[in-house]
Amino acid sequence: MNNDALLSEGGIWFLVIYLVSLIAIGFAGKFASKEESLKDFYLGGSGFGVGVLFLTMYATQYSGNSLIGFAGSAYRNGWFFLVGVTFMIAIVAGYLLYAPKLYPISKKHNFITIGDYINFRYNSQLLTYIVVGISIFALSNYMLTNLKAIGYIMEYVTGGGIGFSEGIIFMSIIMVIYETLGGMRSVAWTDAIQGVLLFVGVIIIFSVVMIHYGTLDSNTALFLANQPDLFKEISLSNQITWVSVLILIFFGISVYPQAIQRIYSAKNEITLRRSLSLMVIMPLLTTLPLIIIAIIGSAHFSELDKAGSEQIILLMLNKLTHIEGMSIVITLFVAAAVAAIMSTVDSAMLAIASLFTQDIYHKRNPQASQKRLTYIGKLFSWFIMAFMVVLAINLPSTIWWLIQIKLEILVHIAPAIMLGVHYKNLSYKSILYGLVAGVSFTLLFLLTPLPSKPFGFHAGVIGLWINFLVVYFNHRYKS
Amino acid sequence: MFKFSFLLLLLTIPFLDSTIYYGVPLWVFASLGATTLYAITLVFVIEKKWNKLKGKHE
Repeated sequence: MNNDALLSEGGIWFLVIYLVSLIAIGFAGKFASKEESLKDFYLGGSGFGVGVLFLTMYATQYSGNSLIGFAGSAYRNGWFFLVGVTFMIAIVAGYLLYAPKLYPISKKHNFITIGDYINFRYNSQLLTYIVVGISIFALSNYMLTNLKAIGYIMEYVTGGGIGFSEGIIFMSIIMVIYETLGGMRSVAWTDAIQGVLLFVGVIIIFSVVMIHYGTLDSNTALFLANQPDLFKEISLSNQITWVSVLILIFFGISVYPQAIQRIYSAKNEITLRRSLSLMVIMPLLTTLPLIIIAIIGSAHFSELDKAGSEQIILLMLNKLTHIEGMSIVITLFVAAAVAAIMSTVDSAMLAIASLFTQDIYHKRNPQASQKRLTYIGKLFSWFIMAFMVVLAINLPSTIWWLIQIKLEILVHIAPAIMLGVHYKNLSYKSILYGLVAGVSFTLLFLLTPLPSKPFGFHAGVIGLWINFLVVYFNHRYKS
Repeated sequence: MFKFSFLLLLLTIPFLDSTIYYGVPLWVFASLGATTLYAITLVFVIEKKWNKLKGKHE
């Protein structure tokens, strides 16, 4: 460890103990498993109560991007990023469009993945494969971006003691060990710890910033001097972007396969309802404080570039190192960031492995025993993690943009789920045609020189409208 | 009630001007207020109207 390390020796030890405890939880998950079956491994036996279910939903939804990326966005976009609070709440409204109906069906038919529902509802293997393919594409993106983030964090906080590649490899091995030991149980239990770390970390850092940097009101003069753009008038184009972001997140993130798996894994309807109620409140207690911290930071540290803006919280805390106890707060922030990233990567990896095992391997090998399927799922977890680590370390930045369009593609599976639970007569052809039309339109705008935001809206949002329209007209005139 | 929540979601769009109150632009108060109301409405829907959302299944 060199002298530029952000974490003190005590901080490094705290991180090591935290990581070792995750492996211990992996073993606990293994010993708690009741049988070797996909349902037990990928849904934790569908027995999660409010505490674990809420915390695993919370930790999974708030990735490393929420802690670092949101602060950076708020720094660059000012108060306009308040949309982050609204869309994090709107995701729960997205769940409400389908979860109340899907949950009892999933219990009755023992669903494990999103593909199980699509196959059951539409009886089309082709549609199932397309939805599963889009899901794996989006989840891979999630894993890649978060693995890269964890590599940078490890390098930064250890002052280069642990390099970017070593950091990714080391953390990946820990994640894949506890995931393959106990499956969803281990992932959800570690998520619970990570969720608590994230929440406590945000609240403590918010309090520290308020005490040492002052409130928004007391920083007004500094805002006007250094960040006058914070008070510029909102334009029509800003309002259109606001609506477009809300639509994209509402339909995109609410159908994330790992979120649907967590809905399946609820012990009963009451635990699901309580967890969703708590999820509604969390953006006001997590995203909003992060935005306020970053905005106050923008007045004190103006002129940062994009990479610098994403380190705004660390910069603010680093300036306070002369205050006693601050090293503990910095350790807490690092632990919270690492926890947020790990909880997202492990959930995405679990979801990809389950999609492959249940919706691809099992369909091609219907005679395979549950023990064999569980073994294949674990093996695939190691394979997918190794593949993602290689990509995260080596993927050229020239094609990096390609994976950043995942949400605009994932959003197109929303009609299959949200309309499917409500309209019994909707055929797979209507959904399939809508999906193909929507994705084609979106890719046309994203992969060609055409504007990626036609009329100010994301191409994925307009593509989604086309998707819905094709579904509607096909259903109306063909049935 | 759930349908009404979408109206609240639209009300979160910034409409007001940027006059500064307590270091914050006016539109932020309105937008944050609508967002908070939206959150309260969703909690109410989840706790009180779940069965209505569930409807009949299969």
